[in-house]
Amino acid sequence: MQADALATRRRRQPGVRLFYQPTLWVLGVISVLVTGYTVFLVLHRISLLQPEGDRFVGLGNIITLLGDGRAWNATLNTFIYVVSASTIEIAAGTGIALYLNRDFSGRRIVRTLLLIPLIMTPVVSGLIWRIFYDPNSGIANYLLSLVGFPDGLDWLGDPHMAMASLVLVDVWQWTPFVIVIVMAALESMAREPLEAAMIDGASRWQATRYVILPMVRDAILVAATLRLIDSVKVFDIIYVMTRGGPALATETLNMYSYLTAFNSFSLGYAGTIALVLTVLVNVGLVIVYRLATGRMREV
Amino acid sequence: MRLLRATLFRLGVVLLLVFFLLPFVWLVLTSFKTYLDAFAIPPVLIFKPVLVNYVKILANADFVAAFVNSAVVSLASSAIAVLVGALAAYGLAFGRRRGAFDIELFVLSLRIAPPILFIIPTYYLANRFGVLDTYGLLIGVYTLVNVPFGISLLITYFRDVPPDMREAALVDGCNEWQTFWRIVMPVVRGGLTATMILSVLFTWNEFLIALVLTGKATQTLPVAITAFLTFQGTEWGQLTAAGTLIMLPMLAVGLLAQRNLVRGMTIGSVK
Repeated sequence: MQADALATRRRRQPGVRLFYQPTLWVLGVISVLVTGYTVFLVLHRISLLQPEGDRFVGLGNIITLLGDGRAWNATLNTFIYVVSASTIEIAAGTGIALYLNRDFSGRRIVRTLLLIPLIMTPVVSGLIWRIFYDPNSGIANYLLSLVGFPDGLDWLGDPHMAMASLVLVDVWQWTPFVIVIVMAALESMAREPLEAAMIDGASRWQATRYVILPMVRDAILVAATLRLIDSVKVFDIIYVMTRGGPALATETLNMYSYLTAFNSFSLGYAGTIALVLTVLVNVGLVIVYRLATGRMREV
Repeated sequence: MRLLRATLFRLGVVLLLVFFLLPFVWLVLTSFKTYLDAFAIPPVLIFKPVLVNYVKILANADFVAAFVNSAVVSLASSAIAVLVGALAAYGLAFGRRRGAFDIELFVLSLRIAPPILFIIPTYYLANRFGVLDTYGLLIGVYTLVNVPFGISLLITYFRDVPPDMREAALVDGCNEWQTFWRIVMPVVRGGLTATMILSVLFTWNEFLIALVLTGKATQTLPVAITAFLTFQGTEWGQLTAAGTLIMLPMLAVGLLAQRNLVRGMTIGSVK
């Protein structure tokens, strides 16, 4: 019977492959096509506004990019946005998850309610935050006036403020993501090492630092990686709230690429910006991963 | 002392919830306010709710059309993705030679590449073939985004099915297709529902792809609402009513699938 089943399975193998091979082929071919066309775009000057059509420029787009002050500004903005948003989210998210890591009634409801910022349509979130940030009728300035700053701030209109205002929205939207991931890791954590540490007289801080944090570090690393990957691509919130302004103060590479492609219709140059962004993300991921794993060996 | 600490803890929890829920609560409250109440400073919390904003937005043909577009596009692309994804996940879970293809890695690299990278060549090609602003293009592109996600999420459910179950069915004379459809699919029903819900949620909320590839005929809700934003300036009442209507269906299904929400959002990264 056993040998029979094995023989059957071997005979059926090609049948099983038909379940996934066509899909994987289609996905593979499309990936290759899209990559090929991206390379094509990068090597050409393509403007949908000019009728003469596509012109081969070789590395011209990349050379232009290196001397493009707006691109460097966008790179810096992307870096500031990604680093500040993910750092705050990881720190606050982990802290809040530790804070909530005890038995209390309503714990499950709190966890459920925390998912709401993740589910809300980002364009709608951007809209409501724009209402909050309105200098005249928004509650952001109203809250400031309650604590003794009657003049308020021009949250989105002031080039020195706008980036911080956007980061705050990102923090609001994505900190719950980190909280929920770390909470799940804390729940599945083995109890014994913590109990042993407490019996040995570890303080609450020591137990957290040397027992709990090392045990959830993989979860934190996953959350950090995903926040890094996703915050680089953030588009909807910036589009709704500032569209890269004022005075390019919040223009990230992603937004610059979009505006180049669909406001100036320079597809070749836009593709080049997008490609550089992708390369930078990968470099960033490698660096973060090295730092994180190097750090972990010390712990 | 114990009581004081417990109270302080509760207070902390309440403050957290206020911060994370205020935008949602404010959106819904403002949508029921009159123009005057919406702009009152200090903000009014007790007011007579009115439906005028909803009446106006539901009378807006563009908004209703966008609602239909969003529903058609997200349901169609997700349904195809779940079906194709289930087939592929079944094959990969049961018939894959080790190391043949790493779908998780593929999904992760898709997530790392910013959508703008593939949307520019897609736009370029779609423009050449004259298929911009069509349902076919939009559903096709979203399906391509949703299929790898669907495969990698579904595969985790198919791996939970005991291989003996499939082998018993094959020995008893089912062919591979019958085994898949009649024996294994009913077992992974929960996973199919979760994948469908999450796929609809992501597609419904997606903005960049829709903004680039849609025009008047096919614009989805996020695109439509940003268009109102530009044209109507400060019509916050209607905008918040529209925002509430966009968000509410997703809130309902998203919370239904909450156990799988984070699983779906971290898929491919647990390597």
